[in-house]
Amino acid sequence: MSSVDEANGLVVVGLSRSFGETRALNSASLRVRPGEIHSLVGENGSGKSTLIKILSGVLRPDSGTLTWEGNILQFGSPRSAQGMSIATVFQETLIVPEMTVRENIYLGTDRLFRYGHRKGEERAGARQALTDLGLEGLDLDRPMWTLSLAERQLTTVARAMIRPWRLLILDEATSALDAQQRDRLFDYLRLARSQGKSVLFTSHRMDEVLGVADWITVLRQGATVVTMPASEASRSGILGHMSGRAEVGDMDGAVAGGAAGDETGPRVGGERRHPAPGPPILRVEELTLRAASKPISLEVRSGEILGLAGLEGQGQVEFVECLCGLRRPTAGQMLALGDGGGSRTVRGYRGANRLGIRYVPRDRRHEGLFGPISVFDNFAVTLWSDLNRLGLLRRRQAWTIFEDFAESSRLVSASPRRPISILSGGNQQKVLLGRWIAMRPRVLVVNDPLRGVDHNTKEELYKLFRRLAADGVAIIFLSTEIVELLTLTDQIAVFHEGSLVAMLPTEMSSDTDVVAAMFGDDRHHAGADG
Amino acid sequence: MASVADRVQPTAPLMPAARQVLRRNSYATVPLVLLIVLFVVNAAVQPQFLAEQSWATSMSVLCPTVLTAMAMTLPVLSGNGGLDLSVGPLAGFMTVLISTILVPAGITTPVLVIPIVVVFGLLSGAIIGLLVAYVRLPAIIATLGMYLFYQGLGTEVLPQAGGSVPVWVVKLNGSFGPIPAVWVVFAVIALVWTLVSRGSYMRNLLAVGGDERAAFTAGVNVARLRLITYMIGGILACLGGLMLTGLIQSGDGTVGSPYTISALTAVALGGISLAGGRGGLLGAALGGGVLFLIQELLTDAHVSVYAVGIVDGIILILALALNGTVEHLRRRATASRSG
Amino acid sequence: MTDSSPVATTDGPPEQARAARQPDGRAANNVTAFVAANFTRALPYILVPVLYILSLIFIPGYFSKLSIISLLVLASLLGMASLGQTMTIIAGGIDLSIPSVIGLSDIIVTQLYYKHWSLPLIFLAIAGLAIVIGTISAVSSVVLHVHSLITSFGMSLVVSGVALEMSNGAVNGAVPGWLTSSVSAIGHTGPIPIPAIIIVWAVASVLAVAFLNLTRVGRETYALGANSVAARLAIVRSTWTLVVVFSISALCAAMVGVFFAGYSGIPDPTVGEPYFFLTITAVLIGGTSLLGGRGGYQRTVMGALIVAELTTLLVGVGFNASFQELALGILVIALTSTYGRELKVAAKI
Repeated sequence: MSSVDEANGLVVVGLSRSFGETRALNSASLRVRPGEIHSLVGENGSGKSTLIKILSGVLRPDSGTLTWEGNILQFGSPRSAQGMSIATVFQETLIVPEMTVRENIYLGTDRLFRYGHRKGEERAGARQALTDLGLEGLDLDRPMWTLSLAERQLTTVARAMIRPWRLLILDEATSALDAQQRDRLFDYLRLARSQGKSVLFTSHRMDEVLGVADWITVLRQGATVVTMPASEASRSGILGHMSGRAEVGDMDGAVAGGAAGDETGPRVGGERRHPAPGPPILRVEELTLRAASKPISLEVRSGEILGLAGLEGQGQVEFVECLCGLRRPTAGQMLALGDGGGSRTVRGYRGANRLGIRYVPRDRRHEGLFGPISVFDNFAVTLWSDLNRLGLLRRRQAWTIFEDFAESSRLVSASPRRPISILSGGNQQKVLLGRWIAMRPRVLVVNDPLRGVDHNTKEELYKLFRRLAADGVAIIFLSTEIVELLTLTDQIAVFHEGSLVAMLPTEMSSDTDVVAAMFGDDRHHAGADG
Repeated sequence: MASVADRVQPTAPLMPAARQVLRRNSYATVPLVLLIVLFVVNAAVQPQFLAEQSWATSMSVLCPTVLTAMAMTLPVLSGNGGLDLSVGPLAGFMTVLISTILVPAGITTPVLVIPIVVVFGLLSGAIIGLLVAYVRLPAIIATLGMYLFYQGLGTEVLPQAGGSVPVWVVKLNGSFGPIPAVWVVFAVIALVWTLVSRGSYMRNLLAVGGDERAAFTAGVNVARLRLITYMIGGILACLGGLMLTGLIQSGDGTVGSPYTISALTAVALGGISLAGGRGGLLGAALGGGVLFLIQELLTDAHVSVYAVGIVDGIILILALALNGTVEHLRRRATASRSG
Repeated sequence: MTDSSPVATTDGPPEQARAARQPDGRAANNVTAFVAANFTRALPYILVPVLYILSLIFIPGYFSKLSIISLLVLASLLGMASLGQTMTIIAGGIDLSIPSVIGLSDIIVTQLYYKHWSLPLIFLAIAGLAIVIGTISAVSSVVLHVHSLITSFGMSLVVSGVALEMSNGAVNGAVPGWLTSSVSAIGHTGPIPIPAIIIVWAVASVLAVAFLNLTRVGRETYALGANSVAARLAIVRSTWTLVVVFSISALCAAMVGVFFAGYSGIPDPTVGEPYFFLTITAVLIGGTSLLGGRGGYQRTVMGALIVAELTTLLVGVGFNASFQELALGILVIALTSTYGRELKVAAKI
């Protein structure tokens, strides 16, 4: 029995892959048996994404053996991987915006001139897959560009589901989903497991890893550190393996007090670690995000860190966009409050910037990074408006500012003159944050800045934010991870259906409280001012 | 999953199918309206426009424009900066090929000439397709190189316009009774294309043009699709060259290059997105028609030849403005939903 | 992509952190890869002397001051015309109106000088028109949400039409003598035995490189071309930057038109037509990517030299204009295959 098991499934031995001078994978290994859900964890830069890309056919390895179901794999395209019954849901939600839901789900199933399935089959299959994911009401003929990010991500999952797969690879496939959607997906995975199929998934979320996986493999610096059954794994143990430290406990400025090592009970917010907030510097008056939502009024004080939470699409992103002037609200206004008591209305993106409100967008790749441009220039782009003398740039000054920032944020970069695309996600994020911090913001609005960032960088960024707050900057921190909110913020504003439904003091709240508010539970009634 | 098809009865009512066709072709709305308006205006200004004689002439002049526009359309649809600048000189080279190489060699019958023309287009497209899809040159460079190549080759082989063409080629621009022969040519092409577009090629082409990474990771063979696309485009351009030969009734190495520009203009006027992923051959035909009618109108109005250029430019900008604004509004709608 | 260095230690003195930011010495056995990558980047610089040596070999009597100067004049004209094109391409756009602006400028100079307008006034008029043309191309591209390829192309149709209209029938034109000598191989610039155009190009090249590297608008040009969405969010002045680069492009084209007038002396609106593709060719052969956000004018200088050398070589070896065009087509493809290749789809994921 076990020899059959040994022959089947996925066996990866000694896999290596380099990109120029960078060794992304250094003799990594992995084993996924039939009827097993396997989780692959590792920080950014651990080689996780490279391994996934090789397994899904996007990249070829430099060396090593890949065996799947007894056959040695040698494919170089996703198409051939699918031919081997390996389906992949990629980290980036890749869809064709102009085409319909059905067409996106069945994308890639055709031959050159002939369809892979009849139209009726496609409709039925798509309907079934979406129902399994909880989207039974979704119109198959809707163009993809009208869907929300979560719906799009689920469509890419459906795309994998309608294939006859025996190995399913999910790369951060739950990043845009809310709790309900994630649960449906895991139900589907468990069902597939009982049918003898294999699942390999990566996630930054410990609760997913520990709650769903049978086996866990940890990668670090391109090599496999450890493979263990989930029953023997603990949160701190995994984090320790990922970062190379024995035990991840209460590091300075680390996980919220009382939560370290505790994976099961409700998490309680940590103590305030910075000076008390100063006078208010931003006031929101009767801000209405959507036609049917209630007006929002609150004040943000200098040195305060305000968290924004909510299930996907509940208005917190719209709120953020209004704050930085990218969107005009249905009604109401925002005022920046000056030191002397004066106030100016926030109007437009540039207007907000002039008032010291700086925005760090969510989507690094499309909204933040200038890929081919150097790390330094990515950082300094916002400085040029001030640091110039009749149009000629004062580069030396800019370099000093950059060096200082790189120092204080522990930016790891081989050479700041090289394109920023070579940096890891976490380091890229530091540079992008630095771009706005260098402009001395009064209010820093960040949209999910720790997404896709590895654990160590997160810790460093927590410190960075706390230092900023200590300097008097007000930080508005939107996050999709409750842990982050509980760790960093003073208060958490919870959004539901475009309205502010709760304002939770972080010190006294648990993640259960936050989740309850996200679902519209009236336990903590909104209305309490900042 | 295997039992899904059995479980749910595929009813496939007609309405969604019709809706899909409409949606697929919705890009052509503006060009269609423009075409109708211009047609009416032309007829009003110049009643002879509707006369049988001028009808046939108009169609003949229009034909190479539309065919080269179609040849340009498919690469544009494939996205990633796809286009084919060589369509004009390639069509022009056909006039040289037929009059200066085939005729003197005694190859004059349609049975021989037409396949040669088609194969030439296929091979030319294959070269470009290999360069773009496999060597991964930017399309603008690869087709620019081919543009210069065919220009040079055409004027090298035939420095001065001349040569003779087979009679049947000229007849292609005549009429069978009341019906201009060109209609038949168009009909044949339309028929072939309808058959092709009912298959999966078009859907995959639009997917690749829409987001090549999505298509690639989903399992579409992107490189092969682009190769095929340029090959079909090459065939269309050469067919346009065949019709052009009949139109000018001689060989001329320089006659082709303006067709690249008109093809690009027609594509833009036809509602086809230059970024790829949206449009179709119908748009190319409509765009060609619109371009033609604009020029007719300007000639009728006795606008000086030079002013035609000016007006062409303005109309191009305006048409593309409409196109661009529509796309921008769509993209804004897309972005706002990604919350 | 992936990390290029090990994870930094969070404790320890700042020097350690800074040391961790130095290039990692364990570059494995990828020396060949390194050389290969940089070779393709350096190829344009290598080709310039290589082609010159080839010309010396294949063309008898080529080594003379006259032939070098002629080559440089050719390269200067193309290089000037391609100056603005380089910037528009870096900014993520492209300027297809260069040939028509050259033609218009040629017409205006010859005709107005014939009508005894004063030179400063003529130049002012041309410059003003150029700025207007460039601004319209840029602004309409932004306002209409359409790629500048289209708007500049539309402008080129308009401008050609105007130029043709203006030159309609008129063959009378005149240019000042010094202008003619500025593009002549035997011309002088004061005491220096080099025609003025070469000096103008040299000065312009230095200014262009300085502009792109040392000015705010220059840096913002790169940002705009690299990622226009991120540029807007990083409060880069997108519209202004486009207006500046397109105006520079039109001004350079106008300048070339003036020099062309010196070449022939008669009004010719079509004089710029060969430059429809040649400017793009020079930029691309120099190694600046059409994708935008990268490259630089120093590369285009190489590109212009290469194109000029290629043309001279082909003519010198006895190829006529048609064959030149043919050969140029093949060479463009061959050269770009070595260093102008785009990324695989897989690499973009």
